[in-house]
Amino acid sequence: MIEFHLDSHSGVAAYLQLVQQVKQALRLGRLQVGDQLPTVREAVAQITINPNTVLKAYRELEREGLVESRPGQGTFVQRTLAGTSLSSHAPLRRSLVRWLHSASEAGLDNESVLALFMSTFQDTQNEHEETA
Amino acid sequence: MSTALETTKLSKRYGRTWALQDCTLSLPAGRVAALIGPNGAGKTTLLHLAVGLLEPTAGEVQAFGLSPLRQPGEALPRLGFVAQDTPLYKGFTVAELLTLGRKLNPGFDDALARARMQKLGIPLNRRAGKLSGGQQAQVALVLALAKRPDLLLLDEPLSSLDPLARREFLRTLMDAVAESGLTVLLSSHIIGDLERVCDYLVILSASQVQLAGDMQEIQRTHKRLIGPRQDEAALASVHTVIEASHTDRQTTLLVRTNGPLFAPSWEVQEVSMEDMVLAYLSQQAGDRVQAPPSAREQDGREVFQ
Amino acid sequence: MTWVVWRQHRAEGLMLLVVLAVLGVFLLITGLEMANSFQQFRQNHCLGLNSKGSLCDELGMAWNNHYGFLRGAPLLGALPLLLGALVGAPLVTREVEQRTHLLIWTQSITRMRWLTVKLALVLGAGLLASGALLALLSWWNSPSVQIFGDPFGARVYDTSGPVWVATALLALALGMFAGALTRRTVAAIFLTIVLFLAIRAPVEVLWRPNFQTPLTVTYAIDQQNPSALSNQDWIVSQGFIDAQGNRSTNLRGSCTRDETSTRCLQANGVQANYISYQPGDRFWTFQWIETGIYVGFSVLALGASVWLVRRLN
Repeated sequence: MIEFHLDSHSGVAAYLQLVQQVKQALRLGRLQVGDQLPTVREAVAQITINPNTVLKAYRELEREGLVESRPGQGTFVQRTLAGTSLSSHAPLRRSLVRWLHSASEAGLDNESVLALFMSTFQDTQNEHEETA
Repeated sequence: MSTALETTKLSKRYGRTWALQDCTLSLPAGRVAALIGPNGAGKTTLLHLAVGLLEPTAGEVQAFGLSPLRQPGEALPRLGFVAQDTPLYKGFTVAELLTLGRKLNPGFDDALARARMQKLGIPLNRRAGKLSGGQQAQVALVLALAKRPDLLLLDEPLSSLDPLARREFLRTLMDAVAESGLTVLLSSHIIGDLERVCDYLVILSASQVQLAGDMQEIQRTHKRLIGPRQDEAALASVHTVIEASHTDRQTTLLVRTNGPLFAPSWEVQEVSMEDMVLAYLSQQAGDRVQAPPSAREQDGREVFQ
Repeated sequence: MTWVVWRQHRAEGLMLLVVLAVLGVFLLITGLEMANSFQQFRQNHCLGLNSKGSLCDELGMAWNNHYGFLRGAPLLGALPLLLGALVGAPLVTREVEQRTHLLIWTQSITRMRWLTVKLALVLGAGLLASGALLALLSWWNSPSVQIFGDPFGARVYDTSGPVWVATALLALALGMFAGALTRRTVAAIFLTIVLFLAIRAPVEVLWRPNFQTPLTVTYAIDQQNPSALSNQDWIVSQGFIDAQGNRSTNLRGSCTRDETSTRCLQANGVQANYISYQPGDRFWTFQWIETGIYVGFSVLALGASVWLVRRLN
């Protein structure tokens, strides 16, 4: 069974951290279809957290179709993310490596590379939100 | 959704000093609420009023629609209380304290209490005075939980506990919330321990409520804005400026947004709970944060649902 | 709630029982001895104020020597005060000083119920204990009273009738009041003692001699003792009456050695002696009057205690 942990200082909302941990476990194959997620009480025993937060995370996962909650029984994995593992995106990876080489040849240091990437990423996100 | 605790202009005065002034709160049931404020802000006064230990000078307090002072027979069984420094009868053994709970509370779940004590490793035949501070706090908590209250109030339960004891105390509390859905209001003067555990926040300072509302909503609407040195009046006409600081080149603002934020010349950052609470607490007494006219509620109360 | 009060005050309860037991044994042993000695008095017809014969005098002296501890018996009067100060006062103060009132007033029991059960149990226990002791004390006192009389003396009066129980009640009530007022154990004990003495002393010294108007008997200057009085009566005051009927307890002048007392007194204008007294058959009336006074104060103190606890912040 998956074990949760919480990083109080990451700035990421608690329920999102739980969602991300479940998704990561799915990606890496640690969670299979049909596995049961920890009950709210079990999760609370693992990390001292508000039970509503756990419920919220599970609702989000259910909304994305990844899990299914069965009343009286628990919350079970319905769909896996293994198909979207990182290894199946080799072409994307290769073009990213090429871009990083170009950036380094252009004289950008690591922080500038990250800043360029983040600001472009955020701008693209904003565009998506506006057109969505 | 019902209201677990409702106060209306609740005030308490000792002689010439106001311990609590015009406190108006509406705590929804099922929440785990943090009552944050510095020492002397009125947290203990508010909790004691809520549980019928004090009589208000003005205003009203009701738990689930019942007045703890005027209807103690109906209200007290639904309220659980753990006072500051968790007082217990030090000469009683743990088992005798459970007997006390059983004799004085209808619906006292003795089996549950014993099961919890066993899980926590607290021996039943040990005198309460001989237990460690953390164990005494757990005993007081279990006593209050075994009553099966609908609303549990705790006065600075973590202040005198070491970090491990604090975590264990909160774990017992969260387990009880997960099991029974009870509403919790606990006070503290540090926000750190409570962030992961609370989903509702009340900030009390200088005997007045500075802020009250859903934790996530509060986090969503509070932002830090950094920009070139300028006057904040333009922003302040729409949003509430909690804190402003200026250097010769730069202005930093902490704002509570009322509606969408359109501030292209500013860098927008998230604010940690701790910084936000500190900003509210560093207000001078009597100098309450003033929201712009458009955003104020009818009775001057800022609330987030 | 009854169990809680018992468990909370278990130590004091046991201590009270121990004190009662020790006292009881002492009273029993000495009382039986005195009862035996008393038989000798009775058989030799030595009872009464005007008992005659050197044998009676000898028996009297032997008694005083043997039972000299009786002179310390007025200390028994301190017992009710100790009860009030050490049991009554901490009733509220201990709860508040240790902050356990924050625990027990937030259980499902109301504050008034907490108080009434505590009051009832502690007062009940106090009344039972003092009542049991009273029975024993009355029996213990009776031989010496029959021999020497003086039932209105402190030793006998305070310990032979309902006044004994009433003083225990008064001390407990004052203790609870002091505790509810000061909320600190040491201050409450102090205040209990002060209040107790402030009520008892005036009642005993000023009021008791005048519960009913004393009777007066006058007799001639040269007579020694008026035969009207017995050792069961209480002499409240005595002195001289002059020709106009004024009373005084002192002489205006003084007597020289050669003058006989009769002539000296006449020279000072004294016409007769007088004795003001309370007859012995008023003993029980006085007991009940005084009991009523203490019960009245107790009710006031208890009422004030209840009001104070209600308002406790």
